[in-house]
Amino acid sequence: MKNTVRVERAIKDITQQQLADAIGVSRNTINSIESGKYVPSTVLALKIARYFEKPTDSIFELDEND
Amino acid sequence: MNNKSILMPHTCQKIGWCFLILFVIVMLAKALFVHNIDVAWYFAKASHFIFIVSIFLICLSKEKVEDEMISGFRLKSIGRAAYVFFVLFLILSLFLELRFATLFPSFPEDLELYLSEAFLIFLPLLLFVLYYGPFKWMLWKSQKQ
Repeated sequence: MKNTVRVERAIKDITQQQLADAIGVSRNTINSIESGKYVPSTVLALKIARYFEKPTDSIFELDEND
Repeated sequence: MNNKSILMPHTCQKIGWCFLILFVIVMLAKALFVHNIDVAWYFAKASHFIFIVSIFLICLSKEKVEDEMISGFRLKSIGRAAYVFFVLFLILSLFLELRFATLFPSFPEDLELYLSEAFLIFLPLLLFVLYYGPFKWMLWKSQKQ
């Protein structure tokens, strides 16, 4: 699964730590999501989307392999 | 969402590490100062107990921020630990049940006893190494990049 969390974060100008604190996960998890190493649960994806005030499928997108 | 966790708070982990240090101190004290075999026996039992408590606290307490990725790591390492445990159990029970002593006459007779005793002592250590080791390693690997 591809995602644009890093881009969205850059637009909002916040750090990984700030995003992590806002949605209640560790910075490590945000980093893993951004680098595509970890696929977040639906709840976490929805939380991220709500934080950026965008629809979930504009941030998270299926890959060719999915 | 139901986020109830059976894990203990993060402070328990620190207490667990203190217990582990205490365990090392008790072992050293036993090795250096205790020469009476009866006293040494009590020291051995006490250190065994301290070791189990410390491992219990370290393995089963939360990380500083316990989130879903960390739960995933826990799940993965539990799965691997279970796999290795079953294989180990299989090998050991085969070893004990088949009674190698009857197959090989030169085999020491009380080896079975030694094996079961050793297994009881190393069981908590195995759990620690098999579960907590891979868990910490996965955590460390994800933090590195």
